[in-house]
Amino acid sequence: MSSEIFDYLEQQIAGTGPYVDIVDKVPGITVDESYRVMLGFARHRIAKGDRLIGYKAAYTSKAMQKANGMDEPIIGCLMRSGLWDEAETIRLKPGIHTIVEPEIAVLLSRDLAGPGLSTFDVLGAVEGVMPAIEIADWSVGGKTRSRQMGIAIHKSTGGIVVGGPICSLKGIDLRTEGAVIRLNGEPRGSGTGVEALGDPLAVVAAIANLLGRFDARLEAGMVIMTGSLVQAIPVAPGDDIHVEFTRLGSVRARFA
Amino acid sequence: MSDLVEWAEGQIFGGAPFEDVTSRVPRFTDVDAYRLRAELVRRRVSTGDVLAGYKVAGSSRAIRAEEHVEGPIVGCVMRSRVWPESEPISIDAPKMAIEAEIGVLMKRDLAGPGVTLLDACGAVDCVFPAFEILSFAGGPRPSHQARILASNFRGGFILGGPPAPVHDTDLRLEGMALSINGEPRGSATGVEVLGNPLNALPLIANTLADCGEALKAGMIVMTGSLLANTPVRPGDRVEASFSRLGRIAARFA
Repeated sequence: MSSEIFDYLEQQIAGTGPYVDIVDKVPGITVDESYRVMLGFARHRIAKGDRLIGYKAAYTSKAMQKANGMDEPIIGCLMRSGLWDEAETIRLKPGIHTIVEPEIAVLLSRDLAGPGLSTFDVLGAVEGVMPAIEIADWSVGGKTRSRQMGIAIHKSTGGIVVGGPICSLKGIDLRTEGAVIRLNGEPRGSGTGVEALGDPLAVVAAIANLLGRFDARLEAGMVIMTGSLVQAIPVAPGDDIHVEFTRLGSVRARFA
Repeated sequence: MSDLVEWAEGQIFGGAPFEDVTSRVPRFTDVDAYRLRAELVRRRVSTGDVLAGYKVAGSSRAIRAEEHVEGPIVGCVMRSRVWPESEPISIDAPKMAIEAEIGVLMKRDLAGPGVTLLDACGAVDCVFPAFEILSFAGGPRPSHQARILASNFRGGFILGGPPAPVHDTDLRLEGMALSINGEPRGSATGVEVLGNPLNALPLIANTLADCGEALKAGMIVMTGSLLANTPVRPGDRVEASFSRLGRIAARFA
């Protein structure tokens, strides 16, 4: 893959020039080609010193898929540079629309190589689960960007915060695990794991199966963000986001 | 008063054409409505029904937003309206809907005014998953007072099991996923119900105090829906799965 496309993506993420969608930059680019660009871009960043710590999925709820005309989730790479500590204050970029989503993060104990994996295959590969918040920004192209662009830059913008403690899955049905998200102490939404493709473990299987199309796999030690349990909430400087789960503990993100 | 009771009985049980109580009685207040309803309940009890407990309507954020409810309403749960989980429910109204809730069994009396959440915590025997089945008559939108008066002599309740102790269970974080015919239809946690479903108890006890009633040991309390109500049709099988309280199912025919 040419480094020109990566330079173009870096420029788009940095917002230094006008917005150019990848469907205009590379006419006729398909969804699968966009995934190859995304995976190549991750390797490009690794070569420059970053690290691939896992994957995430978006459009995992029926409502989100319907609203956006999607029939499968979009997956993205999680880079070390996008991992925030709970104790840090996250500095929002001025003029950028940033949203947060409460999610269940899955830490893997074994590799998972698709295609053809089911939630049962995933069950045996889970080290534990953790409460997490995804921070996404719409800096690149905003809501008008193409699906291909969304995939190509996924998840090169924004980041994640993972709380604790790590919980064993024993006895916990993630489909009914609930989460409450509070903005500055005020409840702003609640939901359960069923919102993530019916079961957060099904999201892990879907990611592994999709990666199988590109000779990539989930690896032991990776963290998987399984998709939002409630509608995304916009955040502004000074906001305090706190998410509490039924049994998985809590996680906090503070913004400045 | 007895004329008004007769009229109200005709309205609610006698199939008389709807007339809003606020147009019949000028300056009819919420407390007047609760007092008149208590009289209707006493008459039902004298003919063999039992006041099994109370419920809160309009306690969830989603419902308040959707129905523009002026505030929570305390309704009655009559024994004749508690239906078994095992039998199909017939759709016998133009519109019926279902709400999944957390039910409470009272261990001790709770009499207002001035009841707090702490008082409520000590008065709970156990909690359990439950459904409220709503039956809509159609027609013009009744006043708040008319809604109080009619709450809840239509529709019904299904109580699930097994009962769970309330200790060590933070009901604010209790999750619930609702499905119809296996299809997920929404999820939420107890925080949607007045911030904490147990807040229904002081709300009910303090509201009832205005008309000389109280929550009694052995009564059940329906704390209010976690989600906006979901319409149901004949043939539907509805299931609510809770994080720790188990699951409850209902079938419609």
